[in-house]
Amino acid sequence: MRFRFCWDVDCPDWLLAEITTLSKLTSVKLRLLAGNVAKAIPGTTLSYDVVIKLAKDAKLDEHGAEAVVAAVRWILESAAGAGVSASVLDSELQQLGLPKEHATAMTKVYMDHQESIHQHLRDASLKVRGNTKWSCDIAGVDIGHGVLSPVIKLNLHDISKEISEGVNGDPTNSKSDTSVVLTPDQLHSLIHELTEARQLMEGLH
Amino acid sequence: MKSNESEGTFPLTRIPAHSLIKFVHHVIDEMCGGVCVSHENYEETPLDTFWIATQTVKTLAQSIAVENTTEDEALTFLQALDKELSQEIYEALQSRKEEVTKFMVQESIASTRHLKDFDWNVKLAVASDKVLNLNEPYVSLQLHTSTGTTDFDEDTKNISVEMTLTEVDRLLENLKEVQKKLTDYQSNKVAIKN
Repeated sequence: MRFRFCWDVDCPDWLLAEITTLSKLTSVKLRLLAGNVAKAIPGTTLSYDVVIKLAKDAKLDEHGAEAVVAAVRWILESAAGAGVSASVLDSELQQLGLPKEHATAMTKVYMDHQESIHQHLRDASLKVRGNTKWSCDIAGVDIGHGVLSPVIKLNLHDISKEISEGVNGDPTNSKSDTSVVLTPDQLHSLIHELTEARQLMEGLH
Repeated sequence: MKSNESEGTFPLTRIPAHSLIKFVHHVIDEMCGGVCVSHENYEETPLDTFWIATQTVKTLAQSIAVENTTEDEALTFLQALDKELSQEIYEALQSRKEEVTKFMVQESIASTRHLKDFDWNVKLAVASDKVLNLNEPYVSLQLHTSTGTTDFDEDTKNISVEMTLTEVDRLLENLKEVQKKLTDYQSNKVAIKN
């Protein structure tokens, strides 16, 4: 059977199995948990203590708690990514065997956070060097006879590489940084061309 | 800059006077990436003198471009030539100052990673790994960079970046800020650090 919140394919088996675990929580607890997970999707870290506390009440072990979080997160992200409405999510969760109150709890959280999750997913969509932070500054280059001429130093800082370099990364010779020198003429034409590209993009928006 | 008259004949006097201005322009064309000055056009001049003459023009052009040589100094340097002709040469070099400076900047940054060319495309992402109906325009910017100048040590690298509208805006803002700094510098308002 195909589900719209699963992007029009069958529901994954692992999720089907976790639906049963979700039903073991009370609908109030599920709503609290889902609320916390939804808030954590756009960036803030999910508090582990909150998860453990909620899981304890439902007599879940640590792995069970982790699986529940994964399931809730998957449902929220997948539904927001597919852009399904709250009522569709509600009926589909019930079709998967989630009790009505639980489905309502999930849907309520989904309604509150749909927009922020959707925006986060848009931003996090895979892009080539999607995590680049640019910085640029003017620098002087000695062109001979002790005369300095201005050039532009453009720096690309790859945030995702910085994270993967982790603690062992050498900050002085970091692979996440690339610098390119531009002449003033090149700077002017880059600005000109990017402005043109920007206008085109706006037309498509 | 000293006149090298004492070291023998001034090399520029060996280029026929009627084609000297043309010669000067050819040398600057060559400096700025144009075709090489061909000895064939100046066959009356011996090859070694021709070469020295080329170097002399190059040095003088660079010196004038960075304002290291004043008009008087340049004219004294060229004194072996006819007065009118040396004035003409000075004016020719003066008029191409900007081109020569650009070439000198290009030369100086050749050993650091610098931009050679760039290209962009605007695309529309209909869907992504995370969103089913994305419909988001994005620009794909390719920066062709290189270090080194000769074919042997040249190391080219293409950097591709995909950016959404907000990211392009952020980059443009950065670039415009530097552009402003640059204009300020050019009107001598701020000092640059090496």
